[in-house]
Amino acid sequence: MRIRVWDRIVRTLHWTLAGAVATAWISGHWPPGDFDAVHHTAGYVALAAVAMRLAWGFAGSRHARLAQFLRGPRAVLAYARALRAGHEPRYIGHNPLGGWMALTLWLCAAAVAATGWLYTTEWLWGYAWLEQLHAALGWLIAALVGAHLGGVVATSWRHRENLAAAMLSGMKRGPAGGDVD
Amino acid sequence: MQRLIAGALLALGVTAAFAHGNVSCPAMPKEEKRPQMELQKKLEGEGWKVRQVKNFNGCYEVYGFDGQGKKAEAFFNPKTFERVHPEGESPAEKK
Repeated sequence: MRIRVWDRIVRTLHWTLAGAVATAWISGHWPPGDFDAVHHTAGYVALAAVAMRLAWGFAGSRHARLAQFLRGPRAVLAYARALRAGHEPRYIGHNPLGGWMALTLWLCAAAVAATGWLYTTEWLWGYAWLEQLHAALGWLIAALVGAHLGGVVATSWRHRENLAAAMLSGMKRGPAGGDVD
Repeated sequence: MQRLIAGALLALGVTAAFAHGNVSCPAMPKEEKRPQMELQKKLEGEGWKVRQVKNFNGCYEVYGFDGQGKKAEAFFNPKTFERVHPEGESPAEKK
């Protein structure tokens, strides 16, 4: 039996943010000036997507909610230990590590976008430290995206379930024995 | 999935096709380059506010505000201090 886990807003915002981050990253590493308009637009879209997603984290459907998937340190540690031992349970929504990864990605995306926007204001335009901070956050989000993709692939493999497809359709296998909501 | 990959490749191709507007300055030995501080002083004498000078493709790249107080990202030849305009940028302020 398959059940709806990710609602339409979650999926739309996920792929919007993914597309915006990819677009911003590529256009940002092209020679200066070529893609300023694309780069800026992607940044604003990313910032808006994060803001909406955080709001949806309070108002959305069950598995969209931050309170549902942000677990305390004990649960995270227990999950990490089980993962290392190779018997971690399957989660219907985010697993404890995935949940924190999602929040980290959103906050990092917001931080890259915010520093990038500040760099365009007259107040902070041109300062080397802000440019370097923006670039460093850009590399941080690249690393986080890499870890995120690694987690998705590994978890998909472990539980024989295509999680990327689940983020497209919203559908996942229903809970069975030992699964955690 | 194939359609997704095809779309991504197409997007990348279009992006590459638009890649123009590069800027570069002739290669020269280090001794021939005048100090960045000298360029900054010169521009400030012309009413610029300079916030950053760095190297880019053999040019000095300056961030700040030009003589009219407008935000500026400008490139200069490190030897002659002549302004170098990226392809596709209108050289309105060319002297």
